[in-house]
Amino acid sequence: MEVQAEKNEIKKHLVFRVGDRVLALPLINIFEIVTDFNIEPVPNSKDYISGLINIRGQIIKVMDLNYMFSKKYTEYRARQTSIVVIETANNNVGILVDDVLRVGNFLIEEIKSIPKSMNDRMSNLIEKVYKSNKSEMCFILSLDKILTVEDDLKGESE
Amino acid sequence: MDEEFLAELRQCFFEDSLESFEKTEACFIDLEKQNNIEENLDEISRVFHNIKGGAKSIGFNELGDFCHITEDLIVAIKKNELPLNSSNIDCLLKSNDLLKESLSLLENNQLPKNYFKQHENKINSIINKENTSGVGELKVVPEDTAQIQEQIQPLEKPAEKNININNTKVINELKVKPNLKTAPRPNLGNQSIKMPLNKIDNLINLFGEQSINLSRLNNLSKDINKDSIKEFRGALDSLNKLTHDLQQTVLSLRMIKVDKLFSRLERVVRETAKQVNKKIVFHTNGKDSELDKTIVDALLDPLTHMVRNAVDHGIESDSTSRIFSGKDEIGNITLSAMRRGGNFVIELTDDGKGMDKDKLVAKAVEKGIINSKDEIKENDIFSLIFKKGFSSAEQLTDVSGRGVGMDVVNQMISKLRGHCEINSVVGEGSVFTITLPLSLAMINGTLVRANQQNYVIPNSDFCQTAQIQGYMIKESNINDYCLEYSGSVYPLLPLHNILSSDYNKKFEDNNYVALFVDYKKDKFAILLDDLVSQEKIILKKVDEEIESINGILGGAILGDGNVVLVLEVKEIIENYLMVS
Amino acid sequence: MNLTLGCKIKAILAIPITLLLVFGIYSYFEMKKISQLSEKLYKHPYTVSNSVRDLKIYITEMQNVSEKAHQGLVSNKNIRLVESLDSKNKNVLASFALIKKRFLGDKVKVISAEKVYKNWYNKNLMLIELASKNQPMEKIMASKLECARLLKSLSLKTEYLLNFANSKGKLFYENSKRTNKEASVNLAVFLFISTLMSIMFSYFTVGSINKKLRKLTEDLFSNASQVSVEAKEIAVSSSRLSETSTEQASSLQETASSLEELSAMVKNNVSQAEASSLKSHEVNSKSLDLQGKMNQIIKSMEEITKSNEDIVSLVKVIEIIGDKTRIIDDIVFQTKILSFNASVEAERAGEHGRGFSVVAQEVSKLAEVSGSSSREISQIVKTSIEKAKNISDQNFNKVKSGNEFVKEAATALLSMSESSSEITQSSENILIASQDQSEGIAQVNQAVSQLDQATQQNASLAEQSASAGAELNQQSAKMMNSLFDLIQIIDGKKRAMSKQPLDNVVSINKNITEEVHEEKPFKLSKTGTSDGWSDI
Repeated sequence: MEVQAEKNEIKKHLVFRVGDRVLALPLINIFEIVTDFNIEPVPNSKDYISGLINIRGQIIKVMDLNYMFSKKYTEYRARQTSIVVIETANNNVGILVDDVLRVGNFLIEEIKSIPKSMNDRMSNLIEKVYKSNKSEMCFILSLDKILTVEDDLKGESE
Repeated sequence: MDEEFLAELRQCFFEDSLESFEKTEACFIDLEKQNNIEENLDEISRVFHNIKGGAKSIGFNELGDFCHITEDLIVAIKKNELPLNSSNIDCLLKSNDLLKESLSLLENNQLPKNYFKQHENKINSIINKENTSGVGELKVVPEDTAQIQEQIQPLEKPAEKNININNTKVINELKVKPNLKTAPRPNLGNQSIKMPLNKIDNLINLFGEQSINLSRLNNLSKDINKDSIKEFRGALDSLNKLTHDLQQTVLSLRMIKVDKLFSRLERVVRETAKQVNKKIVFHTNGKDSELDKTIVDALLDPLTHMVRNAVDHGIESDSTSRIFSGKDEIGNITLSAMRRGGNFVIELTDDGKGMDKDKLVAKAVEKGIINSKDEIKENDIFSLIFKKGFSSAEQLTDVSGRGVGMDVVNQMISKLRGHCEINSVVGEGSVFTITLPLSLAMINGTLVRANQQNYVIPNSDFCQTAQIQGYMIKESNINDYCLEYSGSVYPLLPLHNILSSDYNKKFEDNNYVALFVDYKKDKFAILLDDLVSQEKIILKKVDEEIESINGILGGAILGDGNVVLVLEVKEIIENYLMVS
Repeated sequence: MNLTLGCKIKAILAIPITLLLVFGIYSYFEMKKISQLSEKLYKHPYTVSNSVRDLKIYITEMQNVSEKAHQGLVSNKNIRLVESLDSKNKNVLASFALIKKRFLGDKVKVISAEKVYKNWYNKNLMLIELASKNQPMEKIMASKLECARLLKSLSLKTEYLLNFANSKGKLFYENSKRTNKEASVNLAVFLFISTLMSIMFSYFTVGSINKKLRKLTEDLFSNASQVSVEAKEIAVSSSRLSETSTEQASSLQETASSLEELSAMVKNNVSQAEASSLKSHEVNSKSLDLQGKMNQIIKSMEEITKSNEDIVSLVKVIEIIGDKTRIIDDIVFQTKILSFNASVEAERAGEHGRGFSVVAQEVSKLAEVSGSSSREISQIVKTSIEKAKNISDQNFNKVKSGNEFVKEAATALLSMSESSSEITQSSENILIASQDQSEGIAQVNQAVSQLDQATQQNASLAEQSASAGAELNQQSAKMMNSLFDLIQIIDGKKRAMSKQPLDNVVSINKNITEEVHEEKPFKLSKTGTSDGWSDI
């Protein structure tokens, strides 16, 4: 059984900025937003892995979304850079974002899928796009892709 | 019915039923040994009855029906309408298996229709046959009281309660790819555990004490002066002790007895023995030893495989050869569990034909694992069977769908931070000794520093530390270093090099710390920048991607809230040996 | 020969005298010797021979007597004969004694002779006796023979004695003759030698004396001539001296006048120095004034700086506001995140969380509003801080430049006051130097007057020396004349040099003295102080 807020046809998303792009993730999938963190780097880990953080006793892996998009590491800015912790079955995963903007009420009808023809790295991670009447636009990340990014990137680097 | 409530119910049902089926399996095996027939039969029928009811109430009608039918068979046996012979018990066991498997299938909504049909028919046929046959035979074989005592059934004590430790997050949208690289991870989210009530009471008491102490500290902190520091210390001390006790208690919550495991294994032995047509008796020792649930769960597969091997390859097929060698006609496989020092030791012994070293070497050469006999040391020959590729393909029996070879077994055991030793004498038998650290969670570790980063190395992983100077480090090869210390030379693994894959660091004549590690009778030295402190840490699992990195065992959280990586020294050394 | 002339002459005299003495003594001794000899001669051999002769005589007499006695034999004559014998015996004995005394030869001979005599006598006596008693002629004849024998021996002995004495006497006579001869020869020789010697000696000595005398006279002569030459020269130089004195006097005058000028200049200097000293004092006091004013400026600058600091502290306060604003920002941010987390939780709670999600949204909006206000405040704070910083910077710069200016002025003042104090110092130095100068001038003045005096003295001295020179000349001429006389004495003839005429010398001298006297009237007045200059 899937739980969706179908009643109001609104799906709440967390809108955030990564680099120059405005992205969104469904609020349901988010466990927490962390602003005060100390990332412990993991040697010999993949480049897009920033490291590990501690949330109330749970050790969570943090991925650098900016790096995944543009191969540039996210620059830390106080009171801006945050970690959005995504809930998964096994373990939660955090992604490093440049700025958390707002909680958006996206009308479901305004969420569209993206054709996979787009060739850049982004297309691997994005599956939908939201376009509002007010001509607001942001890409909605695909959780699956993010969580399984290692394989995709592996394919790339090889 | 409310969806959520329904889901909860189902969860409960699945857990309870699983447990029940495990119990009934044990009962069945017991029955086969002709022990406590009455009680077992009662138990079994009662269980099946309950499950039937439960299944029907939730809506698992097929399941319920099948239970019913099985129940019929049991009743028939009880009424002595049917004999208690091995085929019947086989049948019952098969039912049990089916039911168990159906549970997980049902959980994932993957139960095919007519799943039970086949077996249903079989049972029906048995019942009907027997009904027509009339009197059945009841074999009652007199038993040794010792044996009876050995196999104490885990009766459901009335005082036990079920407590669901449920992380009930219904995350159904996520599709998690099953990660086959490592052992199937216990799905913490939907499991529950039974535990004795006194543990809970203990916990509650301790927590109560904790809060009292905390308020004491709070009060003290309000007026700090010199005198209150003493009291502070006192309060802190008791807090420490309390926390320690709590820790222990909490940990022990996860401990379960291995009896269930053993029962499962017994079943395996029975089945496998039947399959290969050997007469084998399965002994167990230390069924009541307690082990962390996850470990117990994780041990199931490896032990199963090992037990199968013992039955299949260990015990001789030909009973006459056994008699010739002076052994009993019936093969013996013994599984013992005990605490030994800081470890939990499981020993699997068989009095079979043992393993021939030369044959092993020959096979290894054949498989291309090693090139010649000279490459391997005497003591390592038995470990050859753990090598990848050294499968039992030559042996003709099928490995029933587990998809594990001995190397995977070894991996699983390593994952549990244990190791497996093999000893075998040709003609006499083999002993597999699995050593596991007792406490998976709380580790005494040393916080070390290398390359400006802190790591924790478990104290059990190394044997000695020493402070060394830069001049003691010599380069034996390109990027291969060794350490001269108190007259001996050790191969040196610079930790920062290995962890950062930067192999070009030069060593100035500074002070360093060397950690000496015993690995397969060799001593290695690991070079660190500094020893920081001793820490009692709780090993936490981290993301698989991280754990898959060589040398990383997991993570831990230090007192300051920062994450620190816990290293696996064995992996580091193995990797180093592979690279060089 | 460094003996005095007196000595020499004494020697010349003494030596012959001495020689003579020597001769005298010698001859005396020789004479004595001779006399001795003679005496000796007389004493001994003469005496002896005399005595012997006497003896002989006596003996002969005796013999005679005895013979007589022998013949005449009795009578009274015998007694007388005996008595005369006896007296003669006595005489003989006395002669024998004398001979004994004086005999130079072996006294034994004498004694033996005496013995013999004595024997003879006795025998003689005996004979007499015998004769008297008319003894047998044989005994008498024996005795007579005996006596004759004895007498012969005696005469032999006496003869020996006599010969001896005669030989001795001859010897002595020869000796004395010889001695005499010798002595006379010696004497003659001595005399000759001494004469020769004294002649030579005196010749030499006197010669040398003479020579010396001559030399001396010649020297004297040359000296005298030199003296006269020098006397002339003196005269000349005296005149010259006189001249120079005059010159000196004139230059002294010049000196005096220039000194006067100097003095005037010095006075001028002094007054100038005093004036400048005064002026520099003025400058000093003025610069002190100025310094005071500068201090005031500095004070006011400090006040400005203080107020600047106040501005800075104000800025700090504003910054604190800014910090607080940052805290607000933090809170706003955290609120925002909290609102997001709340939304997440609300979402998770599903139906039950709907109300809560509204709350979360409101909180988010609130956070935004606070955020924007806080941003505005931040901006204001920033701009105010900037402005304040600008002002304070400007002030700071102004103060800084003011300070620099003040510093420069201060340094300029300082150097000025330094220079003015230097000027004062120099003026004082000038004053002191001028004073020294005046003193010096006074001293010079004094010296000049002394010089003048000295010059005067010089002049008179010159005069004196001129006259002295003339006198000297005269005297030298006289001396020359005396010298000539002396030479004459020595040489015995007049020398070739002519006597100096005294007149020239005198005339020269006169000239000189006249000259000197003419120059006398100029006299330098003595002045002790600088004021005295005005007199001249």
